[in-house]
Amino acid sequence: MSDENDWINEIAAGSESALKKLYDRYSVKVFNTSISYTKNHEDAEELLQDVFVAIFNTVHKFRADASVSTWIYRITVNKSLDYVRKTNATKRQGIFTSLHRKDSDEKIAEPVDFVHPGVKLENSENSTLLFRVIDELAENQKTAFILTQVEGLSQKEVAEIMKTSRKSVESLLQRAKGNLRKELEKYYPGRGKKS
Amino acid sequence: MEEWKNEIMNSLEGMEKAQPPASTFLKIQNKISNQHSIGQSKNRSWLAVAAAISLIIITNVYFVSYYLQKSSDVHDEPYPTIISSYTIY
Repeated sequence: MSDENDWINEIAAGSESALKKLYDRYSVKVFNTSISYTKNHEDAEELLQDVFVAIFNTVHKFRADASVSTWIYRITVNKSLDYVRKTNATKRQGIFTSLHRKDSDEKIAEPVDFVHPGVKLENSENSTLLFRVIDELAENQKTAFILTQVEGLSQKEVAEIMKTSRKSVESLLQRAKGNLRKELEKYYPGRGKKS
Repeated sequence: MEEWKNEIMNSLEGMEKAQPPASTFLKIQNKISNQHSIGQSKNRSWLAVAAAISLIIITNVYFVSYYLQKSSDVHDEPYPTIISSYTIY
């Protein structure tokens, strides 16, 4: 879109009003993508801030060979994956610390069941379980699944964001769905809930 | 079980978009202006560090050169004579 490219040029010149226009167009998309990774409202807001600060700081690196939308989604996915890696590392460190400090009363933060704020009330329990198993997917399968199934982007758009081919996205998506169904078996009522 | 799995997999259908808090853009503006002031104060602290290092070097050079000059002055002086006359009474 030509107006988006104009905004990009204005942001490069330091315009915060152009950044606001871009924010108004993309904040909901960035927020919703982030929340699927963080499963937490506050951290998703923090990521939304980080994404737009990064846009402001690195706008001069933007090349017009990709669309503005692709570029923003790419920043969002990278920041979200960094967040997930950092959270997992903290969890691992917490477990390691607790193994060596058995006398400590310190509690490790347990993951809280996440209910996506946009999900229908009657689907909230099922979607909570779905987001729990999405967490078990490999990074690229998780990204392909979130962007196509949660964000509703086309496979072509996701391929551009992930810098891969549409065929690869299709294959990632198939594997993601297969792995999700396999993982769900552990939670099937009657087979006992996974602790 | 397959039907149950399908239900879970389709649980995101008809999902609406979540809205970010209204104050988020203000926080973004604050972060941007803070990083400018942090950048400026970083520059200022680098200048202070550079000034302190220069002052230490200049002071050291001054004192070392002063010391060397003093010690060369001492060596240049002839040995002071303790006895002026060797005549035994």
